[in-house]
Amino acid sequence: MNSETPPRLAAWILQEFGPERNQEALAGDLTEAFQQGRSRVWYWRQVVAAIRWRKLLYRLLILAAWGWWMTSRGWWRSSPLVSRPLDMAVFLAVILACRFLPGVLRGKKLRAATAALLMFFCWLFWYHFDIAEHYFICVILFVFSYSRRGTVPAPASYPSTDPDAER
Amino acid sequence: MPKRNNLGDFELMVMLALLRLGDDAYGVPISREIEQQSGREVALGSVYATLERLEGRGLVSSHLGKPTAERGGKAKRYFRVTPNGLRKARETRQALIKLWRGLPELEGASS
Repeated sequence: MNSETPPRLAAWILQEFGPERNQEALAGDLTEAFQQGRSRVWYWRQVVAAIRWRKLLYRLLILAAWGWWMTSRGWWRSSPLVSRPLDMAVFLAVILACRFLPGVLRGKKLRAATAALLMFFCWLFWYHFDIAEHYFICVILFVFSYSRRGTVPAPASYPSTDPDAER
Repeated sequence: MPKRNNLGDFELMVMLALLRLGDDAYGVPISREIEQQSGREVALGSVYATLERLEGRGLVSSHLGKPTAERGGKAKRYFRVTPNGLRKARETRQALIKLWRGLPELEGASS
């Protein structure tokens, strides 16, 4: 028996990018097998094999397109801070962090990460007000994502397809 | 493109594992059964993808069990071969037997 909990990051990746229909059953099976003595490496291998790569790719492409559009509107040209590619990379990183950090980190770690990010934004606003508009969207996204995580209940299991089970 | 009729080899393995396991057929025992009988490691994700496909074709049915603490509060999904699935497994077996016949290289001891 394995008393450890499964790798949190892998579990979260499975939840976000795993199969939609049997996600709950698959996550439960992986946890059960892990508790029965399977290794963390095995768990990660199973998660990587279960990821719907097309889904992940679509999300990344949409994010990249959005990041490109946001950074191509001229704000970056007036920025004394960074070049456009770096600006875009920072922008995308912040969006990804806003979207995914709350799911990976919980409790004290999440609060610390939230505080650090907000301080980073404050610093940007204070010293580089010319690109504040740019990053203000990230703050809104982050706050929205953080509050949403806490209020939206976990998705319910889909109904049984077995007619006998419903009797 | 013609509609695919017979079962693929992994689909057949999954169906046979379901039949062997009976009422206790859910992800972990199914993959264990295939690993034990075939000697190859099986990804649970592949098992579920196959089961999903078989269910879509009406060859397998499923129902949710109760969530348990040792599974992190997640429910098991039990699978069962439908009468249609049973018929399809028989047809695939017949097709394979016909193809197997008359091949002297594949008969007798493995050498």
